[in-house]
Amino acid sequence: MEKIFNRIVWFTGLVLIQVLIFNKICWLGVATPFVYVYFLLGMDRDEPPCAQLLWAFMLGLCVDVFSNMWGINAAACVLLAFVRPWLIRMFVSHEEYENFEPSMAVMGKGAFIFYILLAVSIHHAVLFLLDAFSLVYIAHVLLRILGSVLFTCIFVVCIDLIRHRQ
Amino acid sequence: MNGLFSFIQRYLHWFLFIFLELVCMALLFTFNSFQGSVYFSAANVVSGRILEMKSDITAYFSLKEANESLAAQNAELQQRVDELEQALLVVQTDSVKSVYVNQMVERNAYEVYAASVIDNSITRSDNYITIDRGLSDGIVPDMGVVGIEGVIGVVYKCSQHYSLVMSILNSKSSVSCKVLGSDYFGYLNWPGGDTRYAVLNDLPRYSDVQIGDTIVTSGHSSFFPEGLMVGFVEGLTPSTDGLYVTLKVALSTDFANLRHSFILRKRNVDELEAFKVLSKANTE
Repeated sequence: MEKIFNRIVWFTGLVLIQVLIFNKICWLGVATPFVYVYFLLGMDRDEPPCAQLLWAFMLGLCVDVFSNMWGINAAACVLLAFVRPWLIRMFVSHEEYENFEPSMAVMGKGAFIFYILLAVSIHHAVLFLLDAFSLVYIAHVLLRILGSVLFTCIFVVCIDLIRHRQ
Repeated sequence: MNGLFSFIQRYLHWFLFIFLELVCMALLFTFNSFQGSVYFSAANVVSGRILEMKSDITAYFSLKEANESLAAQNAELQQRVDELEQALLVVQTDSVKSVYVNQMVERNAYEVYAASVIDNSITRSDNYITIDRGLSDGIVPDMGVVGIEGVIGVVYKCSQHYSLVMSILNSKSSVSCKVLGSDYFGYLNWPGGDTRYAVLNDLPRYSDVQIGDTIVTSGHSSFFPEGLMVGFVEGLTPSTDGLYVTLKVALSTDFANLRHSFILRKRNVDELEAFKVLSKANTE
């Protein structure tokens, strides 16, 4: 019960921070952080897949509604939630641990950073390609993906450090 | 039968994944035709209220600039009133119906509503602005929206209390514009990228345009009256067939910093549309 409550607080907090602050950032005209993906990245590994997908869909849809993106964030989030189990398996063997929330403390620095880099790249690639929906400005779109991935990852690492501070 | 159930159970999340992605795509691709989709945008009641609260708070940070620009606009309008009064005097003493009267009738043909910008984006390839006026204030889609510095866009979707405005910085936006002082007109589009510039297409090659010329609305559509500020010519490129020039236009509106907007409603627009339908029906 407490877990659900906790999760709803994170959900609301991250969506509001995203739509009220981070959506407005466009550093050098290319990099926009999408920190709300932290909600998905930090979800329990053994959360039922269907629940993960539904949380992801709701999360993306909420951000979409505020930023007039009509399903783009939701599509990217659902895909991320779908591939996330395989991503985690790449860095942490399935037998080694019981259920855990991916974090630097549990996975180790290197593995966690690679995990979020890969996950955020997938999410942002889908997001920006769907947004542009043409290959005319592909160089600009790739630059935006690259810049935003780095930006998002920095913020995600910061949130993770603050949350799991020893 | 048991096999089928266990198969479905095992791959349930695959089906759910495909289903949810299809829902997302449906949202994305039907937005333009589906009228109800305004509820999935920043113009719905909940998101509108939250964005309004945010804009109420952040508005304090730019009050000084807002005041200054409003004062400047006031002064400019005062000057306009003086000019028009002068012109009216000339017309009345001359008792000749001149171009001035027509111009005033033209200007009077629009009702003006003031609205605050509560949300705004400039980072995407299709940008929209949310304003705090909606159907209950008499706003309907396809009304022109201008700011203090110039044209902003056209009302796109309305909910009861909020409206979504398609900004000039939107790949679907197209505004009929002309070079001030001539009657050659073209269409203003935004190709993406830099939010300070747009392009004016389809201007005839022989129209004598110089860098630095002013671009204003042409008045060929019912969205905007003639002569509203749009921007300045920054560069010229001939089209590939050599018949047209494409102008790079430095927009006079700073889209990164929008607070106030005015919505224009053409008074006899119903009549105009009815006439257009009628004349279309007659020609067919």
